[in-house]
Amino acid sequence: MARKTARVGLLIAALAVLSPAPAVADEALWPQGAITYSWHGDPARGCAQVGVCGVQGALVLRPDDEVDLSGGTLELIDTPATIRVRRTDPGSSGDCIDSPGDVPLIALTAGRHGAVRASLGGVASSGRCAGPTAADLAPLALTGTRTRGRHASFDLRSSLPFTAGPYSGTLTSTLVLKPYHPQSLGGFFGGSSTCCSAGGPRPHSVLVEQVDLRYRVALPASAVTVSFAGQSGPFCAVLDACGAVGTLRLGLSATRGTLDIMATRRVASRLPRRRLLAELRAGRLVLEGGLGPSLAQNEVLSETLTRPGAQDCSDTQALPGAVLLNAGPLLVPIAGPRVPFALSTAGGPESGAGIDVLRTHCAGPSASDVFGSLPGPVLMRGSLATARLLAAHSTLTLSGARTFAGPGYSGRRSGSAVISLSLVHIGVRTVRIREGS
Amino acid sequence: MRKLLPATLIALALAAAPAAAQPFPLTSIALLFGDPQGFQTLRTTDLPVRVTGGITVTFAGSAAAGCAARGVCGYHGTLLYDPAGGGDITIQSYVSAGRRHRAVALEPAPLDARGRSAYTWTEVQRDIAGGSAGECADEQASGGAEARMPHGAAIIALADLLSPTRCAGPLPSDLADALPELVLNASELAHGRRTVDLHSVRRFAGGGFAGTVTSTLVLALRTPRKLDFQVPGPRPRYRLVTEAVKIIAASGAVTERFQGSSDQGVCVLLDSCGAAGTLTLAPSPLGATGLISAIGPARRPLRDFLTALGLARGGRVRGIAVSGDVVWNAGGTVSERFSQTGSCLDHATLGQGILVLGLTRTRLSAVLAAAPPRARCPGPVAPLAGGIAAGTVPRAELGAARITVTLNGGPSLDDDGYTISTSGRVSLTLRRGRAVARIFTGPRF
Repeated sequence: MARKTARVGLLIAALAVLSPAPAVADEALWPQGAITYSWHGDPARGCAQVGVCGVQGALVLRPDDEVDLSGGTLELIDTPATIRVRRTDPGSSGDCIDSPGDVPLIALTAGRHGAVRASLGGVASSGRCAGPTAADLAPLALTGTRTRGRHASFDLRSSLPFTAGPYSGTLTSTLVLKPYHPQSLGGFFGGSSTCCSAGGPRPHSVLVEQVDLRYRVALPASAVTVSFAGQSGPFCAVLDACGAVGTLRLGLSATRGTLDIMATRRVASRLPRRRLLAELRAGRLVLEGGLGPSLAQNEVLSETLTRPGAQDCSDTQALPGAVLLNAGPLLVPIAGPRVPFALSTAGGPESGAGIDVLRTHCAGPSASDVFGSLPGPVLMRGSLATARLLAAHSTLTLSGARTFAGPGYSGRRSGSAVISLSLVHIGVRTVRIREGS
Repeated sequence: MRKLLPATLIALALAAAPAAAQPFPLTSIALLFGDPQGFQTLRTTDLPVRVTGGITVTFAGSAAAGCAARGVCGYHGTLLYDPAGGGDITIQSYVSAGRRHRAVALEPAPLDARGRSAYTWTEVQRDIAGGSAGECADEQASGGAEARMPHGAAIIALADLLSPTRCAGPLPSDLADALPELVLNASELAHGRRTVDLHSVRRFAGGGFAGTVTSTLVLALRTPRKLDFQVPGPRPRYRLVTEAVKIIAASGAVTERFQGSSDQGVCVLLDSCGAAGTLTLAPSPLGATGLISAIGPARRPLRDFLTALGLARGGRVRGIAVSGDVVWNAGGTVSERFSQTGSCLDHATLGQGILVLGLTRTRLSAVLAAAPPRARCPGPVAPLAGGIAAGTVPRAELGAARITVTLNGGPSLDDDGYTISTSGRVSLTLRRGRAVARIFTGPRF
């Protein structure tokens, strides 16, 4: 581990040592065991049609550190997790190793007589390797028990067969979570301090003028296409991408919806409506980036992947509600002469944010490889003059042509869409908010 | 979060362990705030580095390199090191025992936007005459590397960037002579803005394996920047009392018995199906030094701190945080016996280790941890958390000048493709030094 990281971590560690104990009844648990999803191409599930009969793989999550139970959720922060997939075709073979990027969370649902169900949500998948998608694995849940007593203890040892498209597999858990006892584990600190209360600004109220805009939005049928190939050089072997060539197509059906944009400005005293709208046109109001509604309801992802000496892989996945139209910046409110818009990815209905919209049952690059990951995978971008926000009708052109490189794959993505915006509502109001409390 | 995560602290402490040339133990508290025993960081500079290329090693069991004696003649494979874009060279100037020193380390960048950091990947085929064949593929995160500092220059051995995996293969130390070294003089460390081409192709033979090591690494040094770890806001006064400790006796060993996972869906990917073996870890931290520290608000009387350290009675210990660690770079041995269709027998040096000390209300606890012990045979990469062994002694014994703590092997572990049970014990005797106090200002906690 890096020395700098260590120093920052040590600082955080020292802060943690001297912080008071949390008031909420969260519990610390010590894990033992692992959670394993293993799968293989199954002829009875049509692996031959997809081209994955020679695939077998496993995702192993091995918590090896304190696990926090918070609000019915186990947070497996920094849990080592490895995806290993072996492909054995008549003319070639390869091993793909990848890591899931997100922090696994286990949602616990209490049942009767101490029974619990533990669901890993949508983060578990085969990553860039061939295997189940997050949507395949999201419904799976471990069953176990919670012991009674002052401190929680969970026995999540169970085994569950599953099917995932052309794959069959087994979810196996040997995970047991026991109360964390620093002494028995060689705890490090015997004292805590309540010496120093946190400071902060004194609460005060501010006056804010707010403009709410609502648009009717129409998106014609469009698509994002990605052509990719395994990178040259030795490192393509890590993802079994050497010699691979493929295409991904995320098709967005024509759809309609509504989009809300909020613009605000702090003021000393109330402004007349006309002046406030003039300020908005001039780009002097701060736009709060809002996620619009799920715009395309029938996204379909299709992939073809070929490798020398291997069976072609071809698969199609429906991704309902996976693409959103965002208006304004995603993370930081801004003011200015143009308003950014983006078609970005969102989680599927079961999993929340973070789902990889380029995942089929074949191997291939991830959405973060192709679209970037900060502030989130963006399929297409565009912008509108701020002065046009108050126009009755506007058209917005989004495009997403760009190259990408690594890890394992490089390629190019393309796609464009022309979106029509019709302003249907303008609301102006003054609100008083309290800050610093 | 009030308690520290054990694995986090152990990993941090290992990462912060001193370079060989560093004459003073760097504990977590000392690194943060300086230490009344004489350590003080003067300046920390970060030199960002963009790293392209990588390291490729092709290897096979070699009779000339002694594969028969180790039982690795049937293994051949490829090892890759991917720097995943780069990292930083950290240059730390510090004073220890009245003299100025400098420590330099190359660190990989944390996870990039695509969720990857520097890693070592291996793919190894097992093809033993008369036995069945198998294939192991594994990947381990790669850590940083400390520099040697002769005559003001920093020399970083690239082999230190490699991490052993669960597959059979040469250890990083076997490859050290076949890999170039990164050599940076004082001017380059101070000003950066230089490209270092480390292309090379060399043969290696040793440890039962022979093969070719190819480096295509190119490092582009950027402009250095001073790091400031200060936390903004009020800076209250704290009292820090530290006590030097030294390991003066060490004995015993811990044995990890492992076997391949019974889950065929997992063991086949690591070629661990039907495998069994032992890893015997015999640490030898003799002479290693460290600190036990007590830290709290400066207004609290010294007696409270001394009581927390077991050096006085009658003080109030609530609100005083006590921690300690003893770190050593390498010492002891790891011996492995592995059997599958054939058998493999190997031994290697046990890497960096740490003894983490803590105080509860009634006991002094100790955890012994080490860099994942690996030999050249296939086998588990034992998880770090929880340590190799742990033990406690009554807090009442803190008053003694020497403390002997017996550490027993930890509980059963799950490793990818392997299950591990540990046994055995290690006994360590610590001699306590003098306690020194200091008042300092720090961030508000």
